[in-house]
Amino acid sequence: MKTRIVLSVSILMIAIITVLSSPVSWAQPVKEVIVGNISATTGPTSGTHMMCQTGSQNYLEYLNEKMGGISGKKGKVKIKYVGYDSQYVATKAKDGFARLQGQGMIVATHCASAHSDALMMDHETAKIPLVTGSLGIASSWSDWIYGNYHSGVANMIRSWAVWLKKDWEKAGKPGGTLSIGSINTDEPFVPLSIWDLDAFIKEQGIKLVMETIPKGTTDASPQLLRLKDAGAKQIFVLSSAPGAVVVLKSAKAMNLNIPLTQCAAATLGDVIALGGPELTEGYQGEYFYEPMSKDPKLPAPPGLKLARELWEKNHGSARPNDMYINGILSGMVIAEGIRLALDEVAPEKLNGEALKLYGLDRIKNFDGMGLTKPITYVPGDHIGPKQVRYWVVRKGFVEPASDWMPTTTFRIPKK
Amino acid sequence: MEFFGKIIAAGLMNGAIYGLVAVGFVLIYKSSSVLNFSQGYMLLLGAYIFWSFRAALRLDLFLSLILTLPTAFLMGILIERITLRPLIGQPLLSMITVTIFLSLVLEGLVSLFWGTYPLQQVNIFPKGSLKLGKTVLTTESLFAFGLALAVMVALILFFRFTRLGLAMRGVAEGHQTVQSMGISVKRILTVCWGIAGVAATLGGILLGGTLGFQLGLSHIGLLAIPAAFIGGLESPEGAIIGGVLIGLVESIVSGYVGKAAGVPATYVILIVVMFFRPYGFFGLEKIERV
Amino acid sequence: MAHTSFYPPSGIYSDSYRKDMRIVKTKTQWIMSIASLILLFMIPHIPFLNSTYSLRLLIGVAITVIICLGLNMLTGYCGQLNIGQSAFVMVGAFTSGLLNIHFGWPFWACVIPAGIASAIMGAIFGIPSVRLKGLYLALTTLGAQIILTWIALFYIPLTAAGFSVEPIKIGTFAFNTPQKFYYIAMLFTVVMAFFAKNMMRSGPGRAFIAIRDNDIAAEAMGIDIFRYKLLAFIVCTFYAGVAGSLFVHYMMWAHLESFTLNDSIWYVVMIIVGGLGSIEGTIFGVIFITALKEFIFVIGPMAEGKLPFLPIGAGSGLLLVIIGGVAILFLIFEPRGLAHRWNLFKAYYRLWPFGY
Repeated sequence: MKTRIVLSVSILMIAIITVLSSPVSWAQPVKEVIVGNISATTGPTSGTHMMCQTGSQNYLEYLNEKMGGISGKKGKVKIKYVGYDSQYVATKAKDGFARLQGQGMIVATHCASAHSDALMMDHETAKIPLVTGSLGIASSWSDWIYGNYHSGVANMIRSWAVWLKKDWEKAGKPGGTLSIGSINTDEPFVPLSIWDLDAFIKEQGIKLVMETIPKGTTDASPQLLRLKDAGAKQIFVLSSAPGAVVVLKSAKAMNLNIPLTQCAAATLGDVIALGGPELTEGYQGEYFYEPMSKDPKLPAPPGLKLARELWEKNHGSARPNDMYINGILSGMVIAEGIRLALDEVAPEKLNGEALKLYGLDRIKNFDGMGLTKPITYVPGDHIGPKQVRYWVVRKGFVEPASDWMPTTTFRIPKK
Repeated sequence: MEFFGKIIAAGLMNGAIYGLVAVGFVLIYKSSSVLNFSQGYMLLLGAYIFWSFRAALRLDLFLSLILTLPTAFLMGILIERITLRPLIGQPLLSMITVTIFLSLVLEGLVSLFWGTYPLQQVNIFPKGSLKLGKTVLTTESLFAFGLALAVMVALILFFRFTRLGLAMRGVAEGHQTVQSMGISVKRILTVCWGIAGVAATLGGILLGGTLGFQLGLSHIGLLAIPAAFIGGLESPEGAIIGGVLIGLVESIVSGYVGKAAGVPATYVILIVVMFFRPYGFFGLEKIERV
Repeated sequence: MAHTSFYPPSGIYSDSYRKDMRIVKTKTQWIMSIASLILLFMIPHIPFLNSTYSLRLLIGVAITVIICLGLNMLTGYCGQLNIGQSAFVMVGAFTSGLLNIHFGWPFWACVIPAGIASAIMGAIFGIPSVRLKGLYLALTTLGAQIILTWIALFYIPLTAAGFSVEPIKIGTFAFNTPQKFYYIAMLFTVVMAFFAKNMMRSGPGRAFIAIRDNDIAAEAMGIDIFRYKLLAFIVCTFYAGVAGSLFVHYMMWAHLESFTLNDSIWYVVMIIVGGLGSIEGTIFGVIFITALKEFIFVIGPMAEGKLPFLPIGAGSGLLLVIIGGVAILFLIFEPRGLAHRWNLFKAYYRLWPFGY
């Protein structure tokens, strides 16, 4: 009996030693860094948030698969993507942040939410940067937040007005003064979008009439009629997709021949999905990147091609969504930041601060494989590409209606 | 004047839909004394079921309707069976809380089967509109209003002239009395919830056709509630009239005051009206005894 | 409704009115109460429980308990359903926040005005109670929620954008982390819970219960029902206001989106699940619902990941179905709330082996 025990133990030990010393098991595991995501996966904006989340997640995991992670001169890291549901509530967002921080998150990403500003303080105290598909109000002033989408909600209508004014001046200033209108809902982002707008309008010397439609209305024709009577030559729609569909329907019913433009609160793709190709024919909108809804017959930059592949691989036959690009761009910015940082810092030392100093802050002329205009981050300006392009819906797809042009960069003063 | 006409038209159309939703609300209250917080979600579920028939299975409009309505009826019955039946006799607040939890479950079910993203558009109404002088009424408005009117008339006739209607009115007065008359309260409750389900679904289909089929449809419940109250919680006809009233008030206030003051304004009006007619215009006054 | 709590352990009897009204009746109860209070304040030092995350949870529970205490006094004890509570929290929160950023007043100077502002609003929306009863009155509270939110959105645009608020300070020491804030939160909660319990076992409390049970009879007995209903509204909203003030100074961020109708409804659910008309019930209810919601929070993303073949958003949907289902089952089996269960449990323990 004793012999047997001694024999089996020694065989076991030999086996263990062999296994442990074999080159396979001693291969250095690649360091994992944690990218966190706090989005509202339940709640009113869940659809959009989930698109952003899956975009960045799919892209970063694709990098893991295809190239084993992200590598720089000093080493290589793999990405571990962890997401939390903020339920569209600031308290939960902060809780999620606390949990992710406890797990060692080095960078976070999310998209367009009411709580992006509430988290700003957490990012600054914890020294963890945020790459976001949409800047909040206060966070556009923060040095730890990097945007890759629009230049702030207040610039949607401003950039649009500037575009129209340019075209109007080119056409020889017909009519003396440029008269435009906007139709708004009572959603929370609307007061922010029109913050201090009167001063801007006066400065530009144009005339802007605003109308508001009540929540849940099924008919926007009274308001559209008023805008028409006021002589508006173009109308901006400050609403999310459902409100836009109502406006489009009413406009069609009353044969309103004034061009309508959708604000970035909803992508043209969303409006097409909700309202159908027929209703949205001729509807204009803005994008800050090359959208998934772009007509497949038009040439696509490599980034868009990759996005389409990733979508097909991960979401199969589901209808492609534009906010997916938002997420992919965020993922790309993060990857680029990590890559640059890994040129200076070893993987073990890669934390939020190092990522910011050596990575994100040094991003110059990065265009996400052609998905957007080149992004450069300088201290005091982490807004993003700061370029916009207007598109129009044709037969259920979108095609460009204007060239790329710089956005306005008004920022609501931090209180 | 054209503007005013448009405001009225918009108001009537919205109001008709509120009225339809409110009717379901009132029916449930009348028969089981329960404030159904999940009415908006029943609307959502019904609308989505319709969408499945029409858009996913690509059935003809009429066929979809014919299939959806009985399903809606069933939905109402199922909900009643599963959640309310076990709670008969419990304090009222528990029942109301169950409807709140129910709205969670319904929202979850809808997300589970159809996802949280807005669904593909479906065209319900034939195109075209009617011109009344300078005002243009879309077929949608006409349909909605017509439907609400039809439902109202149907309900009035039903309650006044059929035996089932009479039984339902009896149940609303008091369960015990009616039971001693040999009427099965359980069956009446079931039917009431079924009808409420259908009414909610009809409203949902109309709304989905105009606003699009998305999760936001359930928020209409919020606006239908004052409609039900103004009309008086005991009167289905009152609910429809109340709904139209609310729709008009909202439209007028939003049109002339702007700033989307419509919804808060309806509540202010509601409070004022309640002061003078605490039981709504058509509600039954409760005579309380010690 | 809470009569089952009046089973004192055997051998204890009261020979004076004062003794009968005592909250803590025996020496054992004294020891346990003091011990649990000490334990409560020691939590930040217990290694397993003191992660930032769990402290955040506990602080959240504490603030919600204050809100629900007020609500329970109005709805549970006095029987007036209030589904606009979070609007009153909002009034207190913004009053406190705006006083802080415009005048630079510290928290200690803001908290009482915040409570008073809410109380004034509560009194205004309590006025309809002179004519309206039951569900109709509930409607005016719903109106309060909507009207107050609209006023904030359109007349104080800053609240829509959100603004930062200073943390609570004593001298230069700032309570700006959960570890530090925990004590403030617990202090306020314990004091206000005690005050609530005290109020409910005294004159006004009895008046509230009388009004709830049968207000016509109460009036016939000489209770001025309008006055007491108004008092109930005022107390409820005062609590809401104070909680709101605590909330913004804790989050250091005030934003309109934190106070929605959804929250109001959850508060009502919490007190119903916990037990109407019971202070302990409030605490149980808040803890139970918070735990339930945390479950979604933690499990949600995992569920989402494991079920990719379902449409997007299905994972969270499934969670909602499960939670709603659990809650419904809970109500079916215990419609009188957790407090009732707890009292039954205590009674069983005390009366053993005669627990039937």
